[in-house]
Amino acid sequence: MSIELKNVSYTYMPGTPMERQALHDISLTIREGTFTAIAGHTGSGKSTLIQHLNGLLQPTDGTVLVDGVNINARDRQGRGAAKLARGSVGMVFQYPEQQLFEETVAADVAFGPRNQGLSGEVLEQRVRAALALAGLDYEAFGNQSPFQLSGGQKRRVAIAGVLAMQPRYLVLDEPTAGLDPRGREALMETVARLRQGSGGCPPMTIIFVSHSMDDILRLADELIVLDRGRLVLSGSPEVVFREKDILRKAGLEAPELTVLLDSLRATGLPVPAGARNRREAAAAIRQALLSHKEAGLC
Amino acid sequence: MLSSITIGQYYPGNSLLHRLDPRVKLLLLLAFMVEIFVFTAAPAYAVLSAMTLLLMLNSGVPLKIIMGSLKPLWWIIAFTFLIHLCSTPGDAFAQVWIFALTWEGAARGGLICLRLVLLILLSSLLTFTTSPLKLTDAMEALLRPFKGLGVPAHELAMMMTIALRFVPTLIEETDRIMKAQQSRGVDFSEGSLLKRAQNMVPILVPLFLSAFRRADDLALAMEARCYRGGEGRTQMKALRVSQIDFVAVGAFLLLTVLLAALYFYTV
Ligand SMILES: Nc1ncnc2c1ncn2[C@@H]1O[C@H](COP(=O)(O)OP(=O)(O)O)[C@@H](O)[C@H]1O
Ligand SMILES: [Mg+2]
Repeated sequence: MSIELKNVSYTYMPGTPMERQALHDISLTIREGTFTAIAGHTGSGKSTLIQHLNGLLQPTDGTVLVDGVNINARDRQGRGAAKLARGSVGMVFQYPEQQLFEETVAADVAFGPRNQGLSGEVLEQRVRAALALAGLDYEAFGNQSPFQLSGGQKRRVAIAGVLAMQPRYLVLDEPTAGLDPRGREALMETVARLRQGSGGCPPMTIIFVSHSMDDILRLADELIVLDRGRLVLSGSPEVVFREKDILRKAGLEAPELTVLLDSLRATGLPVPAGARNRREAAAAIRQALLSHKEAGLC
Repeated sequence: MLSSITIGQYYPGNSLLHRLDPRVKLLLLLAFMVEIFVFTAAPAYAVLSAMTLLLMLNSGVPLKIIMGSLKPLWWIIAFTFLIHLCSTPGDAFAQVWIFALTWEGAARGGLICLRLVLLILLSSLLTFTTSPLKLTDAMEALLRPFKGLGVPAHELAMMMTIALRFVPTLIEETDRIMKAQQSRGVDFSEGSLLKRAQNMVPILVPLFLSAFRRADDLALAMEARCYRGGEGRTQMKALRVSQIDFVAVGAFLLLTVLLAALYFYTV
């Protein structure tokens, strides 16, 4: 099971003076169970790309397969497939709190599953589970107006609204934009939990647009780098972050951690590769220092 | 789908029409329109059509794009023609059900449709060659003499500038909210009329909320920069009448004389 893009190109407003090609011939596969990060400078086409994953945008050229089903056919069947894909590919847009509209948090979260035809006990169960996954207590928040909540809480409600549809793939477009550091940290923890599967919920495939290279290094299995609508790099973050020149051309920098370990290595300290967070980096540096000491070099 | 709507259809360029002072352009357009209504003789219309075509060619805007402005109105034009074709008494050349189609009707309908087409083309030429900002400046300048009569010239112009500025933003926002709700399973293209009306709620509520928020922010930002209405306010790019404007007015007066002569000669 996977989402597959084959030679996808997309042009905004074709045939007008404002015509603009946002994606050029993109082919990629997102396997189920992975955590895929998408990085790129502002305007590189990240948001355009992810809107192809559940059929919100139809490619100008090429095809998108979700679990082997083409969601781009223009006939009835194709439209049906696109609609089904929206059930299995959940989409959390940038600033998702702006889509809230119901009077209570519970009603807003129930909107998605209700559109799927659920009601009664099952629906309520879904809402409870989704709010819990997003880190909100049903008893405390369920009956509040979403508009009275704080920014971070609103965002969690919006994410719960997508989780309540129980998608197998979850797409998040810069989910931490505009949050304070603590809110950002908490949200990333939630995302990591969703990926593992928790609270009786199966693990989710995460597709994650981010500007934070540190988050990407820490969490992602796969990294896709876009530059002006072209796919310029893809692979595991450790491998991709070694391509400093291509990254710089794409307007990105390797994460602080990678830069630090690389410069340590440049001074001759044999730091092993593969550290993905601060703790692992510390352990790696300690190990390198110890082996250095044993060899009597310092 | 929403992105196909263009409001403020300015087409940047450096043609004669682009360089004309917007106040002069606006007044000449009004005068031109009046002439279209006054000189309703075939030879005069030939000259008017030729003039319009000349202006279109001069503007540097692709003809296809200018003609595109007729598209939303073509059925009104066709309907007008049909009405005249069927309802004008005269020499019938065909009979359809209870309607007699007459040569006089065809001629009259053709003339009135031509008038409509010319009016549409000329006014879209104005918006193609004048940026919305200049257009509102011109309106403010032209309304200023009526301030004594209580016309809030500056306020009207400022409102229009702000509205024009936010149309694309709101379109973009609507597009985004629609996509977000579509991702939550709403299908805007299916269901009964009632269902479709209900489907507007999840779009309109967030849209209004964000519009109010934006209005609030904007008011605050304007106040923070000491905006206090039009009294004593000067412009960074003041409008200035130049040589081409005099040439344009002169050419227009000549045209008027020609049209008047043609009209009185034929009538
Ligand atoms: N609705 C739209 N209409 C026209 N052009 C657009 C639209 N959305 C995005 N674009 C253009 O497509 C390009 C890619 O945009 P986007 O996918 O939003 O980039 P990113 O999310 O990486 O910042 C940009 O150049 C942008 O100007
Ligand atoms: Mg984006």
